[in-house]
Amino acid sequence: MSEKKKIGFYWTGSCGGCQISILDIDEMLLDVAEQAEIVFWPCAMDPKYEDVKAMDENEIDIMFINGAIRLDENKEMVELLREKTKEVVSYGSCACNGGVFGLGNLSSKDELLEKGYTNKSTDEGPFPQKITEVEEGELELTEMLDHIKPLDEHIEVEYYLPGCPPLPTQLEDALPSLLDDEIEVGKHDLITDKSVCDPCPMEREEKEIERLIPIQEATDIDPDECLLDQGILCMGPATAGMCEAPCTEVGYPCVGCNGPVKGVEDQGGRMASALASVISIEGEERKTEEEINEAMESVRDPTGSFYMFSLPGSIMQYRRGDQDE
Amino acid sequence: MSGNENFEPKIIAFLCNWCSYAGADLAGVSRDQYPPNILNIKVMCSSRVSPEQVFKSLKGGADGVLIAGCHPGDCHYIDGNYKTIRKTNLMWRMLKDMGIDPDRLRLEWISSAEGGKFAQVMEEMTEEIRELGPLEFDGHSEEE
Repeated sequence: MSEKKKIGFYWTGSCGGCQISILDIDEMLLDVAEQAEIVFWPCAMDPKYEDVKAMDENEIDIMFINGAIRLDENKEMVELLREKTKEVVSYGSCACNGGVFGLGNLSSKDELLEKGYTNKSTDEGPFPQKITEVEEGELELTEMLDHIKPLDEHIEVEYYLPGCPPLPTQLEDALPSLLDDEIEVGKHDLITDKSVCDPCPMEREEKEIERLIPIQEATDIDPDECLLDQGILCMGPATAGMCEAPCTEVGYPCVGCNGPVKGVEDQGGRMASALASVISIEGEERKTEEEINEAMESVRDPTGSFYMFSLPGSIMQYRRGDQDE
Repeated sequence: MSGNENFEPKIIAFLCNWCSYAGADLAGVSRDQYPPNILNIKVMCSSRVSPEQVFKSLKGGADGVLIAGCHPGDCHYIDGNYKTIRKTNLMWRMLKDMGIDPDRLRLEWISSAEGGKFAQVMEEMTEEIRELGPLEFDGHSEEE
C-alpha cells in the first residue's frame, strides 16, 4: 500500500454513543491505525473550524458522520466536510434515519423550545435566539432547524451503517472493505435485507395474539418463545438484522434501532402491517368494528413505538400542520 | 373550513378485486352518477393495502384515501378484511400523530351488488374532503 488513507469521525446532534462504538473495536483500532491516518476526530482530538476550512478538496478519504442534523451549525459543518471528503459514511441511526432525536419531529420547533426553556423545572433564563445584543456588541448563537432530516437529505452520502450505536462486529466487518480500494461496497450493502427475526434465537410459532401487553406488566415471560407470540411488542419483523439480535437473545424486545431492512422505506408502516396480521381478537366475526378498534388500543402509542429510530427517514418525516390541536 | 367550493379533491380508492371493484363496475354499468374525483386502484384484497401506500398517496398529492373491501365475514381470503380493520386503526392513529386529519383515510365495505352504495360513498367522501380542504403537504424542506 502506497499511502495511508485519511479518515475522520464527526458528530453532530449525538449522544456520543457512536463515538464510543468506534473505541469498542478494541485492538482492531491498531490495525486501522496501520492502514489509515485519523486526521479529524473532534471527540478525541482538538481541531478547529479553521483547520477544516484550510484542508484541500477531497483531502479526507473516508468521513464517518454520526448524529442528527438539529442545528444550522450541524448543517454547515457537514456541508463543509462533504467538500473535503471523497466518501462519506452515514454512521449510526441518527445520521441514517434521524434516530431517537427524530421523534422531536412530532412537535414543532416552537413547542420544543417552549418545553425546554419555559418549563417550571428549569430556571427562567433567556430564550435561545440567533442574535443577542450585549453592551460589547452582537453575540451569535447557532439556531435550531425546523425539523430533523437524515444526513443524506443534506449532503450526498456514499454508505449507510445504521445501528444505535453500530455494534463492533458491524464496524469490524465494514472497515476493512471500506479501507481497501479493491473491494467494492455498494451504497446499501452494509444494511441487510434480513430482519432481526432471522438471527433471533427465540422460537416463533406465528401465534395469533389477542392484545399486546406492556413489557413492564408482563409476568412469566418464556425466555425461549418469540416475544410477539407472547404479546410483547417487538420491532423485530420490521428492523434490519445486522445486529444478530442481541436484545431479544436476553429477553428484551427489539426497539428497532437499525431502522428498516434494505429496500424498505417506512419502518413504522411495515410494523403496522406485521402487527395487524398477528393480533387477532377472539370471536372477531361476532365483534363490531368499534369493538375491534377498542381492542387495538392495547397497541400503545403506535407512532412513537414504530418510528422510535426512523421518523425523519420515513415517508411522513414530520408532523404536518393540517390539524389544530 | 369554508371557501372550498372550487376545490376539486383528489381521492385514491383502493378497491378489493372480489367485492368493491365489482361494486364500482356495477355502479358504472348501472349508470349511477358519482363525482370524477376518484382514482380507482384494484388490489387483490383490502388487506394488501399497506400503510406505505396510503402515506405515499397522501404525500404524492392525494387529498384523501379510501380503502374498500368485502363486508366483514365475506372476505374472499376468509379474514383479510379483519386485518384491514386492525391496520386501518393503526393508520388512523399514526396519521393523527403526524398532524393529518384521520378523516382523510376512509374505510368502507362495498359488496359486488352495491353499485348504489359505491356511488353514494364516493359522493359523500368527495364532499367531506372538499370540506377539509386541500392537504398541504410540501413533501420536502421548508427552511431551504
